[in-house]
Amino acid sequence: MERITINLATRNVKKPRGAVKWVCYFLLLLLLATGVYEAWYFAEIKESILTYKNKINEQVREKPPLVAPQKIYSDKELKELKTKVEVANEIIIGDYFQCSILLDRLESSMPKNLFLNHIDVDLENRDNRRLKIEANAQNFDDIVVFVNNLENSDFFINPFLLSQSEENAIDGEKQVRFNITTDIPYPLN
Amino acid sequence: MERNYYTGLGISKHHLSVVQLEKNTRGWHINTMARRAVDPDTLQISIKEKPIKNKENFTIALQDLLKDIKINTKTIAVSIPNEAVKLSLVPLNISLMDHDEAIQTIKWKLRETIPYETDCMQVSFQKINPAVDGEESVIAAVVNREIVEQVEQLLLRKKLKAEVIGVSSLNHLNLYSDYLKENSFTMVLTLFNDYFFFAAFGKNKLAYFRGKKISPFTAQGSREISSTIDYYLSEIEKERKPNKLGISIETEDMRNVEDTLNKLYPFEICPLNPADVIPSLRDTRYEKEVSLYSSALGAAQMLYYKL
Repeated sequence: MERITINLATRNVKKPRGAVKWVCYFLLLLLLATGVYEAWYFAEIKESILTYKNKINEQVREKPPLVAPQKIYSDKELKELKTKVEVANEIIIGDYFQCSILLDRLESSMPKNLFLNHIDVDLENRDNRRLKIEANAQNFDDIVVFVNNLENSDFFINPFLLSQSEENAIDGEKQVRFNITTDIPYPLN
Repeated sequence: MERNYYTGLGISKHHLSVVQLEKNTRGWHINTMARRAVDPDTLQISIKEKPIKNKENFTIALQDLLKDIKINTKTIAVSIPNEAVKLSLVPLNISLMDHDEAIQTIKWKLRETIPYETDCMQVSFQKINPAVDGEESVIAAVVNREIVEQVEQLLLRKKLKAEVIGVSSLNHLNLYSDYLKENSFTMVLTLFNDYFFFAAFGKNKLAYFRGKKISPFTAQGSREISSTIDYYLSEIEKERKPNKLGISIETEDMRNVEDTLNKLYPFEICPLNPADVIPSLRDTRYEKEVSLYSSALGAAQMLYYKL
């Protein structure tokens, strides 16, 4: 006869049912196995990383130092290159600052109704810098005042009025366009 | 050590009995057993009330009992009296529901017959062989949870964990389970001091049962027993001819029920004794008194069979 399985014990003291107990054991085992596998897996990964790291270090050690590609220049090309580099260096190192000095000096010499159109600095001559100024004035008197101011300054050397021409402005008034050359000391101070 | 020892505690109105079984390759053996009477006001066997009225008396009785014998297990199976449990045959489509749903349905179906709230019910059930074809049924045991918890707590005080709590009459059936099958018994009558329990089997499964709180040794008790058997034979088992009725007695009252029933019924009526299932008890001084431990023995075996 089949046994009667009636059990009135409360849950807090009942033993887990067979199946539940085995499922618990299985889960525990699975957890343990997963833990062991993960530990092994991470150890493997760590070892792989170390191996690759060592390989990279060895490759870096063995690699020859970088050498710039060789190119042969003619003497002329070298000279031109050298000049360009020097000029560039001068501009980089100091000229941006010196230009501000130049403009300051110019402004202090300019009469009220005179407007600069263009300034050109000749960089070819290393000893002196030739400054070419193109400007507009309302009349010749202003040009004279400007040239006089340049001459009297202790900065500009030998200002010279190259040309002048009278022309009509947009608003219909007369104005005088003129060009002046002057030398400036180098370096500027 | 604990692996092969199984301890059962039987609680009845007047006695506490403890038995420890040992299971080895040669079968079951009784390792130790003891029985102690309790004061009349200690236990109050009722379906509603906590059975242990006087906790101190119970603890002292249990302590004395455990002092008499050496228990080397920490878990124990308890057999509680039939009178404290409501056993019912409940028609239930058990195959269509899960365990919790079945419990709730049983509580709902039995709520009218139980004198306490459904929340207080501790329910256990088992599918049985349907007496009527096509109708699924369960045997449901319902007890007031307070009763169970009280027993569990008192045992915990003695560092014993009640792993199984069964019902006396069902523990009898479990004790003789294999024996009944081997010897083609189809009916069992279990007799206690103030209670009788009749069970019948079909296809090796419980098919019908009835228990009643009445002394089986009174005229009224005899009439109840014969009415129960008659009802079973005429209404339930009318097509088959039953061949054997086993009688298991757990009482010191030795009035011969066997003879009475023999006069009434044509089938074979055989007394059952724990020595039938524990052959090592044969021809020992324990053979006669061991039937008083039947509930405890059945409970102890439940631990082995993981019931």
